[in-house]
Amino acid sequence: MLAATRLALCALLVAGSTAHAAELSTLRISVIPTSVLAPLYAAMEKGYFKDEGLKLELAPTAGGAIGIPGLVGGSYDIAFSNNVSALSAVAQGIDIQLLAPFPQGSADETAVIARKGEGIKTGRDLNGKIVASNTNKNVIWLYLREWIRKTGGDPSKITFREVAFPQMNDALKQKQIDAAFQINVFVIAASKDPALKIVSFPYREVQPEVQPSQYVATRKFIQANPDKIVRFLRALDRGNKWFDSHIGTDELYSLVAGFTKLPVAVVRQLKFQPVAKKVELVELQKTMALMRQEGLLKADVDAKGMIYSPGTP
Amino acid sequence: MSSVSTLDDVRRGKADVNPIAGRPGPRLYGFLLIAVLLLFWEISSRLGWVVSSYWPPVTNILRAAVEQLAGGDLLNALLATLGRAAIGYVIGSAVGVCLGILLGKSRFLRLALLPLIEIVRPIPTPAVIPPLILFLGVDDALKIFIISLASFFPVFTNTISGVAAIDDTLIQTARTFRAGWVRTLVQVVLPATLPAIAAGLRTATSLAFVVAVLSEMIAGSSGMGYYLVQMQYALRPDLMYAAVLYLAIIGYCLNRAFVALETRCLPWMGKT
Repeated sequence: MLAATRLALCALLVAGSTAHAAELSTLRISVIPTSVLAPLYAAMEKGYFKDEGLKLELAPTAGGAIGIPGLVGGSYDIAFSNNVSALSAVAQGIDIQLLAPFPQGSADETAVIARKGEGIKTGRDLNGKIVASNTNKNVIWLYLREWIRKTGGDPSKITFREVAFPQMNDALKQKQIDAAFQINVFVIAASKDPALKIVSFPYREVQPEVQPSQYVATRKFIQANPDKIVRFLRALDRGNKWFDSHIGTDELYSLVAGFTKLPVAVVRQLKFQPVAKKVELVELQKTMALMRQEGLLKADVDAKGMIYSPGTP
Repeated sequence: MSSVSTLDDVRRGKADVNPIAGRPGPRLYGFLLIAVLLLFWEISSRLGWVVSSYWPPVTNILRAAVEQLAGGDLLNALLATLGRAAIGYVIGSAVGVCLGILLGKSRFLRLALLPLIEIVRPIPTPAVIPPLILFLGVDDALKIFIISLASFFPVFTNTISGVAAIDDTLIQTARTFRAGWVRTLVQVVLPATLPAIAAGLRTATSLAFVVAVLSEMIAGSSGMGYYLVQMQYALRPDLMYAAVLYLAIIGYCLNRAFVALETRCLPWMGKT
């Protein structure tokens, strides 16, 4: 009797484990490995995705050119994308949905920097000068122009140049540009540089609750794999909670240093803020309005329909 | 009437063809120049003539490069790039040689295919990647395709010119011996075209390497291109330049190996 029970238990265990192993389905995710991805990497490291029967295949990329084309081409299931690209895609008939937001804090981390001693404090001071963003017509460019307008400047009187983030500080020092909208890692470097100064934080002044990036997927994929998406979001949510509760800890710093390859000393200076609760329609609509103002969008798109919620077609 | 070299000339090889390059002394001048430039770099960085986080002292770069030898991301990235470059190079060159010979010999094929080839040739790699992503995805298939494409053109161009430049006497001689087209191809056309093919292959070697790195910078998640961009954003310029150093060394070695191979296998190169 006992032997039979033991045998039955063993059989159950084996069946259970093989069934579990067989259930691990793959999700391919395209990411740009910046610090905002910490919740995702945390969830992977802690096994939250495995608990949901998911195996994540991350495809890191340095440039944003891959995200949405890769989704459409079927190379990825989910991509890290910014809201301007997403809205443009929808306007062009590419049916994608925004799945989940990232940690807040862009408002406090991305800054306009300029050379010290030139008296550049507002958009008006930049009239007639050269300003750099990393890519024209992306979210950074959009909010930079709006900040210039809001602080008394006129974008039509300013020359906009494209400079990659790593080169912005040097281009400033070489006087090839007069100001630049920089991202967190290099803003920290600029603040330590005696020749440069931080002018302002455009996101904070234009739209403090802005959500520049989201996880996106095509509606087709979501409709074909509703359960997978739900499980992904559930595991991601656990990662978000872990992230929120570990802000300021060494564990988080070494996690971020690991996947970004940044020195730990620099990671310690990054400001981490909790993850946004959900993709906010209001913020998306504000971005959409800015895009219309700049001519990036000819007409409004269905922003509400773009935001994923389980159970909706 | 072409002159025929004696076997002795052929055996003496490279030293006879180019007596200067044969001696080790002059080659050192080249390395001396590089060393002087690197010294300038080191001094300018240490003394603050150039202040930038992307101008680290050369000694930092060398230290990072040596550290990576003990096992690090850099070597893995290098292997990934070399692997892809090699596969793409082989495919592109093979197709280049075949099409070069075919189009060289067949007027009909030339008229049919040459316009397409000439139109595709000037399209730069970054422009061709986004549409290719839709068909080939973003993995190795895409990169190997692009590398093959880049390797194809110099090999094809050189092959087709080589075929066109074959001394007609050779073809006529083969015909006198009643050699069939296969024998003519293998024993006359191919050896006569090999010097031109070799020149094309040598160009394609460095091109394949460069395009491999470029495609990884634009659409990559592994390899040297991706590593270079990653190190830029990770504020590790020493590792970034160490990667460039490895690329330069490998490129140089590949080129020298190729030249040595050419000399051994194609002793009739450079002589008519």
